[in-house]
Amino acid sequence: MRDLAQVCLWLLVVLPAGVGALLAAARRANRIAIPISLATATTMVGLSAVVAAARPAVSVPFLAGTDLALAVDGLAALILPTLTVVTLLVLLASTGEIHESTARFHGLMLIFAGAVAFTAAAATLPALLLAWEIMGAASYALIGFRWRDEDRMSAGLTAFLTTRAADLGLYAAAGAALAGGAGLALANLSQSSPGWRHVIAAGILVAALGKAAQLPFSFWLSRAMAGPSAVSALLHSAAMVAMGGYLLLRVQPLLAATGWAGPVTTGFGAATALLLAAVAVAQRDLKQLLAASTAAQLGFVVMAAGAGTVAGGAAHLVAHAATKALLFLAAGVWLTALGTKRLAGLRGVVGRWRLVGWSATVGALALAGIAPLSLWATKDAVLTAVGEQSPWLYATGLAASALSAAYAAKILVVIWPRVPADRRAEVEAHFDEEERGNRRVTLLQRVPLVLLAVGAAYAGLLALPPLASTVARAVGQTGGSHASARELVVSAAVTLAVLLVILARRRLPEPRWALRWMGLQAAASALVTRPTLRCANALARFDDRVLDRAITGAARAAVSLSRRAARFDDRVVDHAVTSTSELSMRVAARAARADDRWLDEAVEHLATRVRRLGRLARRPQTGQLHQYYLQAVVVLLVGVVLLVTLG
Amino acid sequence: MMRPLLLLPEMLLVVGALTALLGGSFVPRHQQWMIRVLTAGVLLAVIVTAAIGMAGPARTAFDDSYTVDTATGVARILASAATLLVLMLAADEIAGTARESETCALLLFGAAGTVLLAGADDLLVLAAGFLLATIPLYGLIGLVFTARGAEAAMKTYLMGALFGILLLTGVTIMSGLTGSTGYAELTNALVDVPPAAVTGAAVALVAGLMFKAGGVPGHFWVPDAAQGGNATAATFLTTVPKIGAMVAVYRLVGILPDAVPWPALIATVAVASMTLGNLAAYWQADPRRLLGWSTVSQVGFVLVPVVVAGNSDLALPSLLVYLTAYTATNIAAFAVTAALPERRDLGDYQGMAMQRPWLAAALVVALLGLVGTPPTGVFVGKLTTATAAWDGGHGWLAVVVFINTLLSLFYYLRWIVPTYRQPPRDVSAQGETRSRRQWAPLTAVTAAALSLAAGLAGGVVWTVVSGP
Amino acid sequence: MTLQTVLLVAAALFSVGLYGALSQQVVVMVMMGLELMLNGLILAAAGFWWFLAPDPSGQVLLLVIIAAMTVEMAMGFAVATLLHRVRRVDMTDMAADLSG
Repeated sequence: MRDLAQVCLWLLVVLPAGVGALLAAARRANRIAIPISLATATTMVGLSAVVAAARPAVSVPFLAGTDLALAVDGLAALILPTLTVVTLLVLLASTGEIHESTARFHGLMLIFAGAVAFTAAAATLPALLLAWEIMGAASYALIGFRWRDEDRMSAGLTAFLTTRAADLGLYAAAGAALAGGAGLALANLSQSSPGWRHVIAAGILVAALGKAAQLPFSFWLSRAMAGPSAVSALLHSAAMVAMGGYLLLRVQPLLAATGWAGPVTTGFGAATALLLAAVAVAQRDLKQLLAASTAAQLGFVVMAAGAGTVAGGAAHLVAHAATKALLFLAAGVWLTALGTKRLAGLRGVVGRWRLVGWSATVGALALAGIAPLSLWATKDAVLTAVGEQSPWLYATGLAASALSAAYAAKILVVIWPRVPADRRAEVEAHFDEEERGNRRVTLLQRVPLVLLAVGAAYAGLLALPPLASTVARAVGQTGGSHASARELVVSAAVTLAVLLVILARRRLPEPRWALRWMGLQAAASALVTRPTLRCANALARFDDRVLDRAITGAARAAVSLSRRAARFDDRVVDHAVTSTSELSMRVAARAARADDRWLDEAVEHLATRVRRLGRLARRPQTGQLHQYYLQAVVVLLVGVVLLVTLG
Repeated sequence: MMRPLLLLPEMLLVVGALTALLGGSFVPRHQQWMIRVLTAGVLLAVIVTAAIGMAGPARTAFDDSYTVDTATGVARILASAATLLVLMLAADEIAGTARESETCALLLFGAAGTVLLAGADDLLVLAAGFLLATIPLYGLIGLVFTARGAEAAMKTYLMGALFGILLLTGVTIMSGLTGSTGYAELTNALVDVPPAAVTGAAVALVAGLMFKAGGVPGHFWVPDAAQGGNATAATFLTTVPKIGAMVAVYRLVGILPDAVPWPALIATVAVASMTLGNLAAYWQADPRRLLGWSTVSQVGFVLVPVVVAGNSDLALPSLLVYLTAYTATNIAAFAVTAALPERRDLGDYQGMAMQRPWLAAALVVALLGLVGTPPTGVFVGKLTTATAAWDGGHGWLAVVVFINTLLSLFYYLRWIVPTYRQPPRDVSAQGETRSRRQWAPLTAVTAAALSLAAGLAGGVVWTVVSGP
Repeated sequence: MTLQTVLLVAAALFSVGLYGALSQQVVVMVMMGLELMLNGLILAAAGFWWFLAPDPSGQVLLLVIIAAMTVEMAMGFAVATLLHRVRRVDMTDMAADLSG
């Protein structure tokens, strides 16, 4: 049983990464990509269930003194199934959105999912770093998925550069952990020597804040919205952004041990929750609103890590994952159908597709923190713990939750009211302004929305008794952690009041500073992105001359190669087909006399299959030596890795 | 203990090669047949000395770095006999050319290398054997001096260099891990080192040997070189190096500790080789290229008993039986293509049975032999290897062997069927008169007869390779 | 100087060489990559010998690798010359008639 669980844990990481790499590398796999990727994602759900139940731990020796270790503890057992389920649902829904380069898309998504699973299960800093890097690179590729669009590429670059800059913190932490003498296991970090402990905590804090899009790194999330909506649904709700918060929850003992890191973390979380909620209120673009709200909601998770309520934070993470994936998918559905994600273009959209609208409404209400939906309970579990530390931070948190009710109400105000006939043209003017909408919502897009809506409604049970104490025990937290009754009532009342007021007034202030994400983006653009891009441009110009020539040459070679291949095909294959078909005709005629008809057909079927395989087997023998080299080296590397991990 | 006399056959080969090389520069071109006769004499002497050596018990030479046992003895005899057959077949191609003595020298060097590989009981000897067996191949392929020959030489060289480096990497890691390179010390020392590192080194070593044997993933050069080189080179490189490489793989897995999943590694390579080789051979039009791919699949079959090395007493004898049968059968098939150098398309073989009945008979024996039809030698080989796999607890491998055998029947039939059709109407002998070859058909018939004999006398062969 | 440093440098050399061998298409440049890989091996073997077992038998491995390098490179230039003479090309991808 133990061995099986260990194999499952390896598979959970290796399977999506391997399948993803194959899909991403295969150029002509578009037709089979979707079934393969969905099958893989389904397998991952099963695997995650097994590892969540069995809690295995595995490790391979890596560097002297440390292992590349994966372990599933209570926290990971909570997050891994969430991750895999959301991945599966998002991949399902993406079938309606992504129609070109599906192989590359699904491949990258699977690689990404594998990396996130790796991150969630990582038990040592080297494993974490490895997974963290792959996750970052995959997210860059996914945000820039439509790479012909320069703006989208630069958006991907912004996200990548910002998170990379923050990632340096993790490297600093790893160095400090080595020097600190307590080893590189995440669980032991709090025992390293006092001086180094501060460096480790600071490094991890910076890296986590960067990934979780907390202040002052929040702006990258805004730019990242240029990616496909399915990507946003996975990366910016359940997976990558969440991993920032998750990391802080995981090293909560370390934060607590330093003395200063806990309050600082809570402070950053509270500030982000409040300010980014204000930013969200001001947005006029649905995805931008959701992005800002993601940062704000992650603020609560960060607060939880600072305040020491791991169970509350984890529950909030899970609930938020379901809610936000749902809303991003809904935004994506509307974007592909109508070609717009601007709120002005989405007026009365519930009337067009009821099911999508209702699901989004459940999501928005959950996001608002309306009782008894999920985020209400989980957020209050966090706020209760914060309230025990500082009344000011608690007040900030409460204000932030009031603002979240406000921006959720803003969504509802837009999507529900029926548009009067005379204003309809005004709304429809916004259609197709970003891409050509197809005015269709497929069944595969609807199903995940409903399932996620159920999750968004009920995930709050994790923060309510009796489940809350189970969760707390699982994550190793002592003492009670669920929200106090007073807190639950107060917050329910506040959010409901705000929601009702806004629904009644149907208007919201849109401060300009908040609309432009507090100028963070401009600042970052001036300080980080533009210099880097200028550097890159200079390099590109230098490269152009060399590359251009190479590409022209390659194109010419490809044309001549294909011509040669065609000639080859004509001559050889024709010949072979004629002679074999003659042969098989004769054989078939003779066999038909002797054999039953079905057997004949089965054999014929098999022969066709084998013949096709025969053609396929010749593909790798391209005649190009450098491709032989690459194939041989890749096969050997994969062989070594498989043998070492499975052996 | 040094015991240099134990290595008499190897010394004969190397000295013979040097003599051929030097002698070639003093003998006028029209008398270079003398060099060929000398080479044949050396090979016969090696066969005789090796046969005498097999009568004695297994011993080691040069401080346990070289083993002389039944496996080495069989490898010596097989390599020499195969080289002798190749030399016979080469007579048509090289007689009176400028490269006659060089070809003889390269063949002898290659044979010496493969024998050294087979007997190596020390990683350093293995590396030296690898080099000695590989370098002459580049020369042999390159001697053709055609565009395709040059391409084949380039590909073989670059693949060989990369896999040679991999082999040396494995040797370096093993010696770094344990401080020794002898198999006896390694067997004891490897138990205590991290299995991951040993696995990595084992993969590198096996990869290097797979290049020599022409198995996945070092197989890329085989079809290209078989098509691009001349008949001599194609026959030699698909037959002789495999003998040494296979025995070397067998000895190598013996030193690996149980913590290293080497049966899985070898089984994967075996299945991949046989399946890929068979499938890729399906649609080939060039007979030599088809044979090239077929040898890739044969490597897979030969590897099957290696998977159960140590688990079954049948492993080593069945490996040697298969190698024996394969050597004769493969040379017969290549010799047929050498006898008809103008027919470079399967379609050109239409009606050959009417024109050259003996050659056609040799072809049928060779191809059905490669499939594994009774009563040829490969049938005995396939039967014993499958039995060994079953005996060693890898029954599924026996099933895979069976399925792959069925698969392979198709493409061999693609070649046999046109041979026995009516010849095309406009039969102007297809330039047959241009170069009527004598030696290659003789070789084909001889090798086919040997292949049949190995099958009919399977019991005797089995007794011989099972050792004293 | 520790064994770890030496091995790290050796691994770096090996990796750079492997990258070169995989990324280049000019025959001679591929050979340069292979050469670098061999250099990495030589360094590693020397390190093992010096730090772990400083007896003469360890040097034999070193000599074998150096001999291999010399012979391989000599053969390589011969093959490159042959390729250039017969086909007038020096890139691996311009000699790709044999395929499938």
